[in-house]
Amino acid sequence: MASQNSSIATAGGGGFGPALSQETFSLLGGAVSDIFGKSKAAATERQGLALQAGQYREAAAFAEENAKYAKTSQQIAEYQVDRSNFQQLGTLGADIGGAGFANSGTALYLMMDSAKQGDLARSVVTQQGVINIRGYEEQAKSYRNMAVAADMAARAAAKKKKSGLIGGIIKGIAAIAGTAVGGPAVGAAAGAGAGALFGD
Amino acid sequence: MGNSSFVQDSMLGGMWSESSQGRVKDPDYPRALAECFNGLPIEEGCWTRRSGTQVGGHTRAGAAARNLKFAFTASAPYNVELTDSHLRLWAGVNLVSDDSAATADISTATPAVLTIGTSKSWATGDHVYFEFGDIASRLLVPYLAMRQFKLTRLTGTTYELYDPITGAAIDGNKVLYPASGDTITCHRILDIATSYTAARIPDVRVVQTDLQLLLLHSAVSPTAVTAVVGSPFATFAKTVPLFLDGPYLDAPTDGSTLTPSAATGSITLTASAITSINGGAGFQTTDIGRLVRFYSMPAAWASGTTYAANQRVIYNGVTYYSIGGSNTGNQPDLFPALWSSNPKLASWTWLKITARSSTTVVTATVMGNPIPYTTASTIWQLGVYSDTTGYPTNGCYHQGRIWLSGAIANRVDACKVNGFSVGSSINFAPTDTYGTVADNSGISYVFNSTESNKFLWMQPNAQGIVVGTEGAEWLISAGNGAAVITPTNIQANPVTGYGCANIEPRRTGLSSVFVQKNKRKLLEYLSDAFSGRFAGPNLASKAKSLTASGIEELAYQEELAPVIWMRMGDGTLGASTYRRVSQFSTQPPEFNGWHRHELGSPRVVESISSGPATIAAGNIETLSMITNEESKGVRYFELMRPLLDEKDPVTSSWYVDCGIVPVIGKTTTVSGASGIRFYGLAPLEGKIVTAFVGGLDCGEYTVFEGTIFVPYGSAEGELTYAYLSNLTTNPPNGVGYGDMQVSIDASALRIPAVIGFTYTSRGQALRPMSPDDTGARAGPGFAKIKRASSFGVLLKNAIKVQFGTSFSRMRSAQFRTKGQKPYTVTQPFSGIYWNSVEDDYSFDSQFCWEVTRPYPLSIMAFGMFERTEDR
Repeated sequence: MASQNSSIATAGGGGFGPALSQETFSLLGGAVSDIFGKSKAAATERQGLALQAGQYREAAAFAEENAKYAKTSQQIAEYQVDRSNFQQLGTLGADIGGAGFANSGTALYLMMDSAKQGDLARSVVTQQGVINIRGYEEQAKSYRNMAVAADMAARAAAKKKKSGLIGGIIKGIAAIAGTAVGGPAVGAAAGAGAGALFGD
Repeated sequence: MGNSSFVQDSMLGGMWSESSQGRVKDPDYPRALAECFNGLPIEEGCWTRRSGTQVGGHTRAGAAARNLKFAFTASAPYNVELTDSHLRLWAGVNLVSDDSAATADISTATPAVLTIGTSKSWATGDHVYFEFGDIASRLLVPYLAMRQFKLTRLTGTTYELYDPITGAAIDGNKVLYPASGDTITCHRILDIATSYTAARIPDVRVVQTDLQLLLLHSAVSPTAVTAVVGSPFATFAKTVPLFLDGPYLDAPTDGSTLTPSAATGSITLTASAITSINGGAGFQTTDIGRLVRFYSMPAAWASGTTYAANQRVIYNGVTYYSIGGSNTGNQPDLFPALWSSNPKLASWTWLKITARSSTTVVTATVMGNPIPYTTASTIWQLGVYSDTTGYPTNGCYHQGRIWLSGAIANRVDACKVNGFSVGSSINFAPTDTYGTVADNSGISYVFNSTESNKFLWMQPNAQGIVVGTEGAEWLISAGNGAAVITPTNIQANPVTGYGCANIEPRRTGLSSVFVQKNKRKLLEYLSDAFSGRFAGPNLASKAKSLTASGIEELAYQEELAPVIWMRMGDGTLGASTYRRVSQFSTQPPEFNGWHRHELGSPRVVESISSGPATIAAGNIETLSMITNEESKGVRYFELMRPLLDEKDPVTSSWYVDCGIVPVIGKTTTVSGASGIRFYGLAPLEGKIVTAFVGGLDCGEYTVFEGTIFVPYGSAEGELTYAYLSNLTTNPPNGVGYGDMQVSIDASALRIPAVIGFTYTSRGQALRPMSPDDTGARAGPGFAKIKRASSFGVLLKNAIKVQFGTSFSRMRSAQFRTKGQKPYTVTQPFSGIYWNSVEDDYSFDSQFCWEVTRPYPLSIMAFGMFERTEDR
C-alpha cells in the first residue's frame, strides 16, 4: 500500500515548477526600472513612462498566464490524488478479499480510515492550488495597477507635471507589487502546514 | 502340516473392528487386537488393565451435570461441575468450600438440627459437608462421611439438615452425634448461581486465560469464573465481564441516522428508521445491555449558512472550522484563509443501551468520550452480542487476544492485544477515537465463504487458529510471513473440507484431534512440516465399530499413558493410546491403539474432561467424569485412578469402579463371625459391591446404611487379623498406603482398602496369519485350518487371570513356584507363564485373556504353539 505521506508531500511541497518564476517577475520589474532610469538621457520622460507601463502590462499578462497554469496544475493534482485514493481503496479491498474476508467489520474501518486520509490529501491539494492561483492573480492585478500608474505618470509628464512626483508614484506602486508577488511563498507555507497536519 | 510358535510383543495396534481384521498385510497387524476391553496398550507396548474410578460424591442434588477442566496451576487443578443454574468446583475428589465452622452438635431430632460454633450467614438451600479432624471423630460419627446435606436456616448457628437428593429430613438418631470427643468441621459448599440452565449446560464452552475461565453459551452473556490461589482451596468468584467498545455489526448503508440527545451521561438515541435495526424490527427490549458505536461529525457545510468563528462543518469528508465569523458562502476547501481543516473534529464514541422506549428510541449511557455533536449521524453500529442477537458460543485464547465466534455465521471477533482484565472487562475497540486501526486494535472479520456456517470451535496452534465449521476447516493466520496476527495482515483460508461436529477438539503432543461432523471419525489434524498443508487422517479408520454410537466428547491425557478419551453416545468410553512423533502428515502416528471401556458400576458416562489431578501419589493427569446412575437419575463426580506403575505393590491396586475408601473400619462380630465393618459408603447405598481389602478380593457385599461387614476368612481364607496386622507394621516401601489407607479401631490397623464395583477386562489377539506365525509352508496361514496346543505369556502382577482361545472357554491360570507350590491370592505372578490351551481345529486360534476380579494384570507379550494344515 503506497504511503499517504509521500503523496501528500508531493502535493504540498512540490509546487508547480513549469510556471513563470518569481525571479522572472523580479527581473521584469528591474528591467522596467533600468529602462526608466537609463533611457532618461536618450528619450523624453513621457516616452519612458509609456514604455514602463507597457512592461508592467506585459508582466501582468504573464501573471495571468501563471494563474491559469496553476489552475490547470491544481486540477491535475486533484485528479492524481483522486486516482491514488481510488487505487488505494481498490488495493485495500482486494487485499481484504484476497485474505478471505468480506467487506465487513475491521475491513470497513480500514476503508473508512483510508478514504478519510484520501479526502484530506485532496483537500490539501485543492487548498494549495487555490493559494497559488490567488497569488498569481494578485500579481497580475498589481502589475496592472502599476501599468495604470505609469500611464497616468506619462500623461502627467506630457502635461509637464513634476517628474519627481511621477517617480514617487511609481516607487510606491512598485512597493505594492513587491508585496503582491509573495503568493508562492504563502503557498509553500501552506504546504508545510498541510504536512504538519498529516503528521498529527 | 506345519508346527509353529509365534510371539506378539506389542499391543499398540489396539483393537480393530471386524471390518478391518482382513488387512493382514497392514504393518500394524502383528500388534493389533481383536478385543481390548477395559484395558489399554501403553507406550511400552504392553497391555494393562485400566484402573478403576474413584467417586468424589454426587453432583449438586444429583442433577445432570457437565464437567469442565479449570487447571490454572498444575499443583492445584480444579474441575468445574455445572448443574442446572449452579456451578461448583472439585479439587481432586473434594468439593471446594467457601466457609467453615466447627460443629458443636447435631440433634437426634428429625430433621436433625446442626449447631455450629460460630454464627454464619448461611442460607436455606445451602449445601454442606463435614470433615473429620481426627480418627476418633471418624469412629464417633462415621455417618457423616461421604454425604452432603442441604440446610434450612433456623438461626445463625442452627440449621436443619435434609438429604439434598431426596429432600428427606435427616434422622438425627442415625447420625448419633456424640456429646464430646469429636473435632468435626462443617464446610459450606461453594455454590455459584449461573444462568446455565439444564438445557443449556451441554452447549457450554470455556476459554481459559490464566486465572479466568470464560464460560460461553449462545443464550447467556459470557460469564467469568475467576480464581485467587489460596489454601486449602483457591477462592472463586463469578463475574460478567464488561465488553468494552465492541464488537459491532456493520454500520447501516441505507442512510438511516441515529441522533443523540446529549453529549454525556444517560441520553436518548433516536433512529430515523428501523430498517437497519434487528433486521427491520427496530429496537427490542432484549437490546438492553447492547453496545452502540457512534461516529459523531459536524453538520455538512451549507452555502447559505453563515458560520461563526470556530463553527465546524464537514465537506467532502473533511472536517473544517471557521477561522472567523460571518463566514457565508465560502466553500471550505476553496477558502483556506477562512476555513481550517482538522481531522480530529469528528470522532467515535460508544454507548450502552439501558432502556428501550420504542422501536426507534432507546436510552443509552455514554461509555466512551463525550459525543462532540448531538446532530444525526449516518455512521453508527449496534453491538454484535445481545439477548436479541445471541452470544458467542466458542472461542480461544491466542497471541494475547480472546477470540470469540459462533453468534454470527462466518464471523470471528478478537479483543485488543492484552485487552482484558481478569473477571472485569474485555476490550474489543476496533479503532481509536478518530478511526485509526492499529495493530493491537480489536479484530472483527467475516469470512468469504460459499457456505453460511457458524464456527463450532477454534483451536490455536503454531500456524494460527484452526476454525471448525460443519462444512470445512479454516486457518486464521498472519499474512505476509508475519508471526503475529493484526487487523491488517490477518487472513483466513479454508484448508480442508472434512466438516466438524460441534465437539471441542483437543490438543495432543504434535497435533489436534477433532470429531468429524457425523461423529464416526476422529481426525488427527496437523500441518505437514514439509508442505505446510493441513491433513486430517482418520484415527478411527480401523476401529470404526467403536464409534457406532457416535463420539460425543473428547479428552486427552499425556501421562501415565498418552490417551485420547472419547465419551460415546451410549454412555461408554472409547479411547486411543496415541502418539505422533513425525510432523509429516504422510507418516502415520507412532501408535494409535484403540480400546473400549464400560464402567463396572451401573452407571453411564455423561461428561468427561482430563487434566492434572491431585489424587493418588501426587499430581498426575487423569480422566474426570460425570456418571449417571440411570435407575435413580443421580449423577456422580468420578476420577479415573492412575495406572498401576511397574513398581507399585498390588496393595495399591484400584480395580473397582465408583470406588470409595472407607472413612473408618471397626472390628466387630456379626452372627458369630468376626470381621471388620467399613463405614462411609453412602454413595453406594443398596448396591452389591466388591471389597478389596489389604490387596485381597474379599467378595461381594450389599451396602446398608453406608456400611458393609467383611468377615475374616474371606479372600480364600487369606483375610486375617494377622495378615492385616502385618500390612500395618510392614507397609510396602515403608510409606503407608496414601489415600487408600483406612484406620481400623482407632488405628490399631492401618490397611489399604477400597470398596466399589468390580469389572471385567479382557483382550484377544487377531488371527495368526503370516507363514512364520502359523507354520504354513505354502504362503500365509489365511484360510488354513489350525489348532493351538499351548501358549506362553509374559506377565506382570497377574492374579486370577484366565486364558484361552475363546471367551466362552477360558481356563484359570495356575501359577506355581518352581517347587510346584501354588501361588496364593496375596502373591502376584510376574514372569513367563506357559500352559496348554483348549482349542479346536479352526481358521481362528485367537489367544485371549480375561480378568473379572479386582486384581491387576499386565501382558507384555504372548504367543501360541500351533499346527497349521497347508492346502
